[in-house]
Amino acid sequence: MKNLLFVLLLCVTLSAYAQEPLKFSGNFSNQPVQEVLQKIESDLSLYFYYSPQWLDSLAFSGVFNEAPVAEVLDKVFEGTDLFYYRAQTKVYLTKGIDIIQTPEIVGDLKIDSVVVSEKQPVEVEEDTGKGLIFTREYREKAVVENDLENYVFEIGDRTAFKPGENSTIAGFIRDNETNEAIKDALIYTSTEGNSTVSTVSSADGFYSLSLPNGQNELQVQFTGKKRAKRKIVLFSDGKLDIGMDVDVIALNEVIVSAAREKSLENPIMGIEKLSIRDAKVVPVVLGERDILKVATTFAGVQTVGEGAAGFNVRGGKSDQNLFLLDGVTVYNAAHFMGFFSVFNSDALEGLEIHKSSIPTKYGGRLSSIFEVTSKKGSKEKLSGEGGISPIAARLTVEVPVVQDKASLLVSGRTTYSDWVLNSVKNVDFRENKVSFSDLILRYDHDLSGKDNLSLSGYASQDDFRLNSDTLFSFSDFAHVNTLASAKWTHVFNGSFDGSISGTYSKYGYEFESTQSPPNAFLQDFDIEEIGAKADFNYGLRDRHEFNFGVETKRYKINPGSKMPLGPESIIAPNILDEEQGRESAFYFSDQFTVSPTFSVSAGIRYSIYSALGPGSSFLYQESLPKNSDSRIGTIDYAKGDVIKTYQGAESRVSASYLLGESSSVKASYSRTRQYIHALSNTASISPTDIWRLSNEHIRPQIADQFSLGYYRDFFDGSLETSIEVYTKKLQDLQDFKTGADFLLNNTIESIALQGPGKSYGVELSIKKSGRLNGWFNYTYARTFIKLSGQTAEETINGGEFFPTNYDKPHTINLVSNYDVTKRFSVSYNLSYSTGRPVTVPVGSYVIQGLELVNYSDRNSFRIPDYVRMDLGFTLKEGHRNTKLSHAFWSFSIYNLLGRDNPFSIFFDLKDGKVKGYKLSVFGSAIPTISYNFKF
Amino acid sequence: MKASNHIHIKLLSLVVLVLLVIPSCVSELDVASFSFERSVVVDAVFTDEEKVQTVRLSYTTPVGLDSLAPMTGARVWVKDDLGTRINFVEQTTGVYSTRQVFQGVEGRAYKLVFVTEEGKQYESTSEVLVKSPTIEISQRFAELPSSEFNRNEQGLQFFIDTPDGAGKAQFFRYEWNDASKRVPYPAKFNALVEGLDRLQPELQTIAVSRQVKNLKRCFQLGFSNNLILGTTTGLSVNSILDQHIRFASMERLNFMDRYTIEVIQYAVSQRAFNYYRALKEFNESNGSLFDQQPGIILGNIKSLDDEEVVLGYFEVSGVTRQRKFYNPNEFNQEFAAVFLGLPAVCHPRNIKVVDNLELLQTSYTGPFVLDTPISIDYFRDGKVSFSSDRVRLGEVALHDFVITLRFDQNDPKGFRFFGKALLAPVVCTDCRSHSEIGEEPTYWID
Repeated sequence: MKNLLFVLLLCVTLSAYAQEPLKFSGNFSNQPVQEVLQKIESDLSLYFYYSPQWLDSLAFSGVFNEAPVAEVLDKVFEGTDLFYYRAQTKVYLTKGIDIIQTPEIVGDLKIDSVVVSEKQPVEVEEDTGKGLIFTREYREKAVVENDLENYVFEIGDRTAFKPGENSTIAGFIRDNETNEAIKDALIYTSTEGNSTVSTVSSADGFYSLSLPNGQNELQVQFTGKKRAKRKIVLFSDGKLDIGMDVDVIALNEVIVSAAREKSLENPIMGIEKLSIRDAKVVPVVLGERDILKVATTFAGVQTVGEGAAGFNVRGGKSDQNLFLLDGVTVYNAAHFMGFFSVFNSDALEGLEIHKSSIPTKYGGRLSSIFEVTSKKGSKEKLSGEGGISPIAARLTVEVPVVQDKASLLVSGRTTYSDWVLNSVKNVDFRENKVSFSDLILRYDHDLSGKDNLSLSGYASQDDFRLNSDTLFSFSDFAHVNTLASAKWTHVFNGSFDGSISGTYSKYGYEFESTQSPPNAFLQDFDIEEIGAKADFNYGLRDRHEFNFGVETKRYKINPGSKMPLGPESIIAPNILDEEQGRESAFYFSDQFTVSPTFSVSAGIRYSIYSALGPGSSFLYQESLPKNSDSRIGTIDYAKGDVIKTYQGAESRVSASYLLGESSSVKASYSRTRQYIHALSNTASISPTDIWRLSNEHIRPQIADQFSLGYYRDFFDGSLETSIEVYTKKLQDLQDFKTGADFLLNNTIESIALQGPGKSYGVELSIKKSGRLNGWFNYTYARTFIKLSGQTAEETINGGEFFPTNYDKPHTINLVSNYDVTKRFSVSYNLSYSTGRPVTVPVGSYVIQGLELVNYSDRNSFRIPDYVRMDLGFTLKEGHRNTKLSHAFWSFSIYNLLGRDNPFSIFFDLKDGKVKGYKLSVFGSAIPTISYNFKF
Repeated sequence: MKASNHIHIKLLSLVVLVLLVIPSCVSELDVASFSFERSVVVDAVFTDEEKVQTVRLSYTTPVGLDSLAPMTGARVWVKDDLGTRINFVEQTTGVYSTRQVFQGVEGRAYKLVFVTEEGKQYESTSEVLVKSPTIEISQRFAELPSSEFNRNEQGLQFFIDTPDGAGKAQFFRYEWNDASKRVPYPAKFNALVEGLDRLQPELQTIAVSRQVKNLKRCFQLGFSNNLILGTTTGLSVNSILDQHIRFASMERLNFMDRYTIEVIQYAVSQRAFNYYRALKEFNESNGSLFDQQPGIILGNIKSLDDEEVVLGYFEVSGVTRQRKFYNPNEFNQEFAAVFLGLPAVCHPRNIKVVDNLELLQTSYTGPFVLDTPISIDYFRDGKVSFSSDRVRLGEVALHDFVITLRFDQNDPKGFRFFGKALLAPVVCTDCRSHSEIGEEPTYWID
């Protein structure tokens, strides 16, 4: 019940301002309080929210004559353990919890030690005595020992108390259940009469605040947690750790507010945050909750088509996004060719997408950073979670290895598609095989109060076997991601912490053809990345937050090898030279609060990349296209030799200016450099894409982005709106000649084209929290590339700018969720986008009896627009804490209208005529039911 | 390689299948709005075979229209590296041929030149004629997933090897043509069981529609309709082994009596090979997101006057060919296990005998001798009605049909006709139902 009320409190827009002084008259003699309240309700049009049993035994006697309502209520509840809180016409009663009267700060506001109120902190000289009285007052009350909220903590040394001065209180915010640090919790003062001072906890849960000595009240808020309150008397600098409890029922209420942690004051722009809970309310196809699919409903994040792998962020190519799982690069984030992401949502904490001002600690990709964080296991008790959908079964278990010290999280997922295939009526597919699985392991150890060790591992595999395809057969195809990381975090002191980490990532695929013994072969590709990083945060006098560090990565790529398979095979072994490279960077940034209304985040990242030997580099005749005819020589490099070095500074600057309490403007500029490129000549990213490094002939890609935004919150932040405008200038975008062949190609320069690009757009977005929650966004975005070479085969579309194949000007996304009851919710999605550009034939002709089509300009035609609606229902079983397990059912209908959304077009010969066809992946509505549980 | 594209298509269809669902669907697109660009197209293969060599010149036509746009009135010749000029003359519109048979010579380089009526001159690069090695056809029973039927199809996969090595040739293009012969089960008539009379449901009508044109045999002919390419590059031996040529499905092979296939191997230049490879890749796109980015594929022909796009290729190639004949029992056992030969339904023991059909109507007006059967030969193009529940509707072959007039004392009408029919499905008797009638090919050897 308490929880319910708490939820209601969060839901309402709390406003302490401008309440009309309602007057009440009445005469009561030992009347039940419930009746008193009913009379107040009917006379004053106020509505009370409470649990009836609280009032069961309460009676009231008294006379009111035009008394202010506050006075009336004070009297009514005098001597009871009930408190009330009034918000306009609603009065909420609470049992044992007082409600603060200062304006609520919405949980996702991220304020770094900023004084929020326009007023300066009130000097506290006259409060000195009062602080102590305050203490005594509370001591007189019957303090329940474990009622931390009413207990008064004494911080610091009583003898060092200096009235009127400030002291620093610092400590850690932790989850009471898992004992894990809580990052980004908002800690603020709610001391009556004083202005609010606030801060946000760091990654290890650390916070510090400078407060006037004397009485203070602290509150801590975090998504999905009950708000914690502490009464303190601050004598001198001291420590206070605060634990937070899970707010089970509050989950739905706060879902959306957490999704976009876009505080008005934070100068960082273009961040999209997604908690796993957000992902859970969005209906998805086939019941696999997928955090990355939800990400595509954000402004500026697009895919080329239904079920396609890869994302296009603000007009960027799909290889320009850095996917990080706990800081380790993930090279292929797609299962099943893109129908699912490789991340099992149960094991994840959340996702953060940086699409414009990318923090300086990240680099190496042009468009965006997808930062996926796995969940820390509970250090307190064994718990788990799992689910069954039509495609896969999954299970996550959290094991406390050392009580309160160390935890292990194991999360696995596997398909039973082989079973599905076998049960398919169509006999002939039975011998085929399509499956995927993934596993996340994470170990966290609290070495001391100041040191933390975190180890994580990840593996994903996709397997395909195609039965007896005698033509160009690849009987078996598999791709595998392997990731590992170790991170040690150390807190030097309250304002200085750092971490060192080591990462390892490997992605590879191989395919086998065995149908024709003389031509049987095995072909593979793999990329290996080993990295180390040292990262430090230093806060200076609440106004500067420095982040600096160094990082280095070593790449090793096997661009492809083809080997004979079996004794009969006549395939000649063909092993391309390994490619090696080293990418290092050092970075420094300062988030500087210039004034309460103006903040700047400025930083620089300097990256140095070298292509390393052993290897050889071909020399070509200048001013001729690079191919075997123009090749004039070869330079061989020994192991460790530097073949070519590229380096440059990447400036990242952003600023925000508050235009009042609920609106702000921000501007940012950022430069990014990319030294590694996926070779792809297709619209979608594919598991057989090959990553190659920059070298003598392949220049790094560079992007400059300017963006400007206006943000405004309504209804105390329950409705957030924003408009962002951006423009991007790109250099040396990677593209390829028509008909280029990437596999086993050791002269990529002979098929590569590089040219400038430009992107620009406007993103409008609205986000609402509350019982009806969700987001809506509209994006207008364009993206172009220009490929103008010396010869016809190096020039596309006459050397003019043309739209890329992911240029979709208009996009609308609506994601909404309505909580009908605490246990039942309905969600609805709408998605619209302009059809993507495709290349269509400009004529047909016949050669050797074959009907063929001729293409001309790239991307001159668009496939029809895309419209899709989804509907989902979630039913939870009771959420009592005493229950051993919780479960929920979800039912969804994907593509409710059954609309035939074209995915692509192709051309085929029929009755002697070339005809065009549209292909749709999901041509009808797809209902799915899935079951999920948690223990 | 083309293979990478192929795997994507296969994988995608498989994934889509696994997702149960998945009503992925294809619908037609209106191509009328596409713009049209007219370009010159050259279709020319110049070989070392002793024959009339041919060059076809045309222009592209708008997509979706099956119009042809031959280029007429051009002057066409081929020049070799010794300066010899071989003239071509227009035989039919857009088709230019040498006056006499001409044989290209191994090691010579040839170049195509043509001048349009408007005086624009085009020229190909020089292409050297490479000798094609001998080939040997082989075949194996195989199963192939068929996207058309969404299941695996059984059939024969034909391959070629180059038993004597590939010689100087490294890149190859292949064509094939095949023919199968069918011999029908003898039948006298084709007839149509027209159906039940609603008022008299026991009645069925057989319309003796036509006399079977007693074809002794039918032929079905097939030709390659896609680009088949092969290369020795990437192999550890200088020879082609197990090159896939043609997959003939059982659908195609069943009921046949004899089969023949000819494979023609063209030894082409690397440049030609790359050109065909790109063409093939685009030509086999199927709408998956893994389709290659299409664009112009340029061959080896250029306008001497401007930067105009010229499509097509002047291929100069050495040619070898082999034809083989097979009887079904010469294929392996796996094949025999699924080979139907003449459909089982046509086996004499499956031919249905329907007797005691009571004839209610007949167009026959000739004389009857009591209890003496009259053959259906007399009912040519006539109609008979009979009552029976033993004949299914549809087209049947009437192997024979005899009618007897009997006298029944108990019947007020006195006389009644009774019929006896031998019925077989048309598939057994008319080889046209599974083959084109196809004249016997000139190369056919029984």
